[in-house]
Amino acid sequence: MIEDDQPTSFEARLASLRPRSPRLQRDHLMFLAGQASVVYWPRYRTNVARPVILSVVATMAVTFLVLTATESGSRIVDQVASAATTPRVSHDRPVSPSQEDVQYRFEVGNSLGWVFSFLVGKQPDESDTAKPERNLVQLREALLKEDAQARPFKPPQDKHDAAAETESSTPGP
Amino acid sequence: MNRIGQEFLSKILDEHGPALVLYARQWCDTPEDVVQEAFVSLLRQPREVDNLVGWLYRVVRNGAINASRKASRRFRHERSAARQGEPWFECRNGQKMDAEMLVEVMEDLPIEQRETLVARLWGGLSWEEVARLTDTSSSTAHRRFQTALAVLRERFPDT
Repeated sequence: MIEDDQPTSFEARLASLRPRSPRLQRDHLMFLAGQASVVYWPRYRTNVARPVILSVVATMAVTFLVLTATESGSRIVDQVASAATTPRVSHDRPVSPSQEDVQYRFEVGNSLGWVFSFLVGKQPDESDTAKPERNLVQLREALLKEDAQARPFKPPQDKHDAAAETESSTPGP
Repeated sequence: MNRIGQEFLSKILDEHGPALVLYARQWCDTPEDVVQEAFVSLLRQPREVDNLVGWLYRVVRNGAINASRKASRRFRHERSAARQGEPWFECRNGQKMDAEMLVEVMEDLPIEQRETLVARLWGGLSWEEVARLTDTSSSTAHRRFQTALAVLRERFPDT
């Protein structure tokens, strides 16, 4: 390593020549110095916050655009349940249980529906009042009610009549 | 955070401004513009720079080299005339002969020796700082300085 030795007389003679004073714009530099000590932090905050805000807004816009383009008008079926209706009860003759099953489709809506429900604080099913029979129990009750209306209950008239009817319907040996 | 106040800036300008302009003059014909830009760049630094003087010399060097490249493309034929019209040193108390002769001799030196001479002699940088500035070792910077001094001794009378 080279030591910083003392300058020789020749070096001192050269160094005694002073470089010419520059014609710098000192006022402009002083103004910038004062400005830099004040403006620094707001400028720094703006530089950081602006890209963050822009990226968040852009991400949200792209997400909604994609969801709108891909899922508009479609409904997603989450589950298909089969609900058997209760056997028809009749006092006239025994009837085999109904083989008629009702398929019930649980629709959960699309992603936009979930986003919307999240924003408004309601579940998609709560907001959809057009199909109250979505609930399985309500569906059963509705079917029973419909069945009862279609076949009104007829009480047996007499024990004799009932036995005769049973005998007549039974084939002989 | 950049905490260069106006008093501190004024002190730096007085102490290092002339030598920085002389240093930039080794490459380009617009050294004051280069130094001005270097100080503006310093004031726009978001954080305090380490080794302020060394940083200034580095920025001035880069700016002067860039300015020289631009000038060589545009005004090559005007450069020699402009250079002769600008005095490098202040002439006082009979130093005019020394100043003029020094400029003549320095213009004949290679740029590596000239920049080392200015940075060390008028800039007051240490050998380590000169080496870092010129991207060489301390020994190489010292050798360039001694070579330049030897040439100057030959050309200067009464030494």
